[in-house]
Amino acid sequence: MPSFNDHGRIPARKLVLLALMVALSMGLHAVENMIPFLFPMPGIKLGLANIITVICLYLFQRREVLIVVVLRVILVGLIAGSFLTPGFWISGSGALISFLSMAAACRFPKFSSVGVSLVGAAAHNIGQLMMVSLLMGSKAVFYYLPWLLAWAVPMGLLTGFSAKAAIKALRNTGLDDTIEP
Amino acid sequence: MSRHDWILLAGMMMAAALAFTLLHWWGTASQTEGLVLHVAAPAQTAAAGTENEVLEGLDGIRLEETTAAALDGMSMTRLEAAGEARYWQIQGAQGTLVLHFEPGRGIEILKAHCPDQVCVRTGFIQKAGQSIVCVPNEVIVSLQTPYKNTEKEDVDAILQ
Repeated sequence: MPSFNDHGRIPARKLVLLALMVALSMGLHAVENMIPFLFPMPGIKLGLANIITVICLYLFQRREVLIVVVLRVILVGLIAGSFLTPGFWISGSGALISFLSMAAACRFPKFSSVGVSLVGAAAHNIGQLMMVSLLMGSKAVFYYLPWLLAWAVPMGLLTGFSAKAAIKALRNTGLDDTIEP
Repeated sequence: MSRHDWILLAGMMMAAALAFTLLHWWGTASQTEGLVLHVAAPAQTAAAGTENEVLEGLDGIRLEETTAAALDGMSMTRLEAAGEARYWQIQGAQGTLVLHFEPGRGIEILKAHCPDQVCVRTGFIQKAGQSIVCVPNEVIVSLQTPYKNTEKEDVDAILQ
């Protein structure tokens, strides 16, 4: 549950910002859905929406970020018409597992947002692969793991530096001071 | 990027490299996982009598005399799990063929009674869809993904 203020409500400002984050991540998620088969396997995606997850992890509390991630996956599934199809489960498990590992990595202040993104990108690919192997009932798909791990490095750097720039810009505007804890 | 990010980056690259190496070493061992061996043989086989010529130099190998029908549908996963080399002797239209299974490498036709020896030179097959064809003997050995019996499993997807 999001944090509530004294009146038992989510502050309007935070609500708007969270909604904005959901919208942004949906946009990125939809864009990466349009990129066809960059990977040898259909359903495996880049994880561009992880940019928003990283930004949110630095601006909001963890449970609020979880809500953003879950809403993003469900809403994109509904809009793209892939709700409850294999593609939905694959991207959902990738998003959730990358969120969990990034939330864990975030607790170590020695990692910057780039390091957190690298962890997230690797977890994103591993999570997707786990769901693919579950859906296909075969462990053979893990032969793609080396390629996916290698892919996670440039993708993690891309999302990491994007998130870093975005966080810096947002902090410069003084936005994060206005978010109530 | 902080110093720890660089360490993480290096760690991930090493993990990927390690995974590639492991795949290179052991990956081929179970490439055949889930595949099924298919052996098609002619209706009329040559009478036994070409063995001596084909079996030359195979002393000390435990040959199993069998038929194509008995080999057809054999699970490669189970053969890999058993982990030992197998040699089968079957009859083709012209004469005897010796099939050889080697764990981690796949199936090959080791010896054949035919003039051109194309099937022997094909070597090992280990991936789905690969086949060895021996035209003179009318024998086709191939690796297939198993067909599901139920009709429901036969379609790729249903769009509504």
